Amino acid sequence: MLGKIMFGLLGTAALAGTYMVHEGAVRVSVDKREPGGRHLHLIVPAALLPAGMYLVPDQQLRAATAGMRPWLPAVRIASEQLARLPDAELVEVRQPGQHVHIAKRGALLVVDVESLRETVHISFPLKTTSQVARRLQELDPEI
Amino acid sequence: MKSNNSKLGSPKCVLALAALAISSVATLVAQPARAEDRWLHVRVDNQAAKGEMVRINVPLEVAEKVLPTIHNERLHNGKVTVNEGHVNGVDLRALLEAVRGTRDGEFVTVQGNHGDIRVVKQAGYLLVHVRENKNDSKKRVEIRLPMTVVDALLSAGNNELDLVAAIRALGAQGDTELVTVKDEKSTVRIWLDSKNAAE
Repeated sequence: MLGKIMFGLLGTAALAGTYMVHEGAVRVSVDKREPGGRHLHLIVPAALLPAGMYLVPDQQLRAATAGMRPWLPAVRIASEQLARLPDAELVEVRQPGQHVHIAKRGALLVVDVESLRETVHISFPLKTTSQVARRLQELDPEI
Repeated sequence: MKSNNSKLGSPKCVLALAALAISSVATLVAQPARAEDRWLHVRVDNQAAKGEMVRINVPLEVAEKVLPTIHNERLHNGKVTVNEGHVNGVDLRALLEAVRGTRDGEFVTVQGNHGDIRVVKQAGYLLVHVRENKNDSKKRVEIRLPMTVVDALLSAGNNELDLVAAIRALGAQGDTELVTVKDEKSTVRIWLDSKNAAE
């Protein structure tokens, strides 16, 4: 009996793990260069974001994203289109003391910012961006 | 079975297969450029600002799909409204219409103390050359716009320029330089090709 339960749990964990790996992860990494500067390293399974949005009341979600609403269709379509393209360097800006780099790598959009004050690395699956934009659009069908 | 193998290996069969392969390659080569593999590149190099540099690579297909979704001030449904058709006192639409309807040749040549401007329609392209000699500046601007793109821009109707149609028309072009701006301190280049990275 115990063996069956263990087998079930392991199977579920394996399935969940496979799903997480398949959906990818959102990575945020911020390293402040100043003495005693903070370091933030965050890895969140991408699948949790669209799912988690359903736990937030619609009204609050609508209020929090009001500013970005006009851009949601553009974000969604750009994400969907970029996901279909081969890997590419999209934007690179190099200035004294600052370097910004945005690229498409596999299924991810990667943003790197290096400045005298901090280093920021953000990567997220384009599919997740599209799903999040779609969910936010659902809140306001007029968009 | 043996006879089938011998048929496949026969000179006629080899010749037919070779012809098929060559025609397939030829068909692929002859296909017109499609928006989905075309990239618009922008490159700005500023030597004066300690090597300041900007590279932007935009897939035309993405631009074509995204532009109609943006509704902001003058931009709606992939079309930009040009107020009363005037930009900096120049009736842009009338100017482009006039150029479109005429034969190849030099349209505008302005030679002044501060520089020269030449506008030419040549071999399906609208060419604009600007040379500035003001305050020791030696700025050069070269614009090379395919007439099909001009036609597409004007296809929206009065007081509007159809950017999506222009992008679609650009997608059908081969590799081409669109804009080059050069002075002592900086260089700006905008061009179109099938590479997904700037040079």
